[in-house]
Amino acid sequence: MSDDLLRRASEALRKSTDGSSARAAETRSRLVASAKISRRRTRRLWMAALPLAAALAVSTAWAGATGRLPAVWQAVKSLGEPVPAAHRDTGPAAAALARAIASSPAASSDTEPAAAPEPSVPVVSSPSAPAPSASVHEDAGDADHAAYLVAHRTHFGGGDPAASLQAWDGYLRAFPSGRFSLEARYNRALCLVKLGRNAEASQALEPFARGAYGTYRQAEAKALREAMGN
Amino acid sequence: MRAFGLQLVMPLGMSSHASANERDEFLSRLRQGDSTALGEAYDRHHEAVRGFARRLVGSDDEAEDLVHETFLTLPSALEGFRGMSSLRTFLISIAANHARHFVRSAARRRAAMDRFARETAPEPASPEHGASDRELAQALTRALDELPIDQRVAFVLCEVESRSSTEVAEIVDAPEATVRTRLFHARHKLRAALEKEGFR
Repeated sequence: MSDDLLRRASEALRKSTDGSSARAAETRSRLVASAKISRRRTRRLWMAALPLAAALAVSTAWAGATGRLPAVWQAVKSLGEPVPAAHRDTGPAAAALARAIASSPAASSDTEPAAAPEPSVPVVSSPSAPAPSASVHEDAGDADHAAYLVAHRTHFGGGDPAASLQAWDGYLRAFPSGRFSLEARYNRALCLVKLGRNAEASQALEPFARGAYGTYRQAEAKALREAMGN
Repeated sequence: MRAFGLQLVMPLGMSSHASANERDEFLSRLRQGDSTALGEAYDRHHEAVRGFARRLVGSDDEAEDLVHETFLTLPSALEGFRGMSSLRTFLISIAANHARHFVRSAARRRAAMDRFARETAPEPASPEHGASDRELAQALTRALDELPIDQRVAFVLCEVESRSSTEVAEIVDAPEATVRTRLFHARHKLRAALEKEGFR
């Protein structure tokens, strides 16, 4: 074995991989959309924080000027007392996901869709609610994103495929047509592969291999199914 | 080294007519998370970032996710950007810093697929004679999976992308001597791994 072979291998790797991709435009759109969402969130945070800061400054000045500062301070301190865990609000997305995971029967799931998911953001509405406005769409999108992040962290951070499977099932239950449902379905199939549930994994991978979602993960799904003997 | 010097003069890869003001304005828009500026940065540099991501991760899908994350992180990462290197070099360093879990995920799947392939396919012929470039590249990717991420990054940047150790040191934010040490260990382990697979 000489350095020559290592050099040849490096050159082969360099030549077999370049920067062009059929998915470059898709990634660009995803990136720009994510950046817009992130910017909107930051702006909303500032819009909420600025009036609060102004109100705090004004009320502190008023309390100082009228000699009521100690009483106000006591009131503020009482606000900081710990809240019982049962009453903590962990956000609508986390709650929706937790409910979905809790209702999931063990690690099995029937969430595999029959048709391709819709790419649009799901609309959250109730019979008594008025027609959904733009902000409702945005909130649903944010909840979708937050719920996806929870499952994503479980999948890539924990290393436990059973827990990851439950997390993806939970996400899909909460947002069956969510923006990330495609990724969730594929990751869910990978969890089944890792758990050795080959029949279910093969079934979950079948739409990807068939091209039901275009070329997304098609080659890998095919390779995995072939490796599993399908 | 000469090319790197040129990048220092034109940090954003813009034409020589581009003024410092335009550059600063562009950076400022990027820092604010302006999606149009982010799109422009993507258009200019996505191929370089994707090429590196593919070589490092060894999987097109994970590489695509890494490209997305790299550009998405750019606005916040730019807080620490002093403009001493090119934006492209800076993006490669972001990709290298975020690569860990993408590499782990791709390696896990590769291992699973190898396991399935071994269980179902007949014993492959020895690669000792007539190993194709494709086989060599695949074997190198598998061997890279056995390396710690720092050594993997150093090897891909120095040997596969033919970057100077000075540039790599800047990308990984480590002394040049450290980069050379990582490279030495990486070469040693990769040689052993390829030998184990029957390559000569």
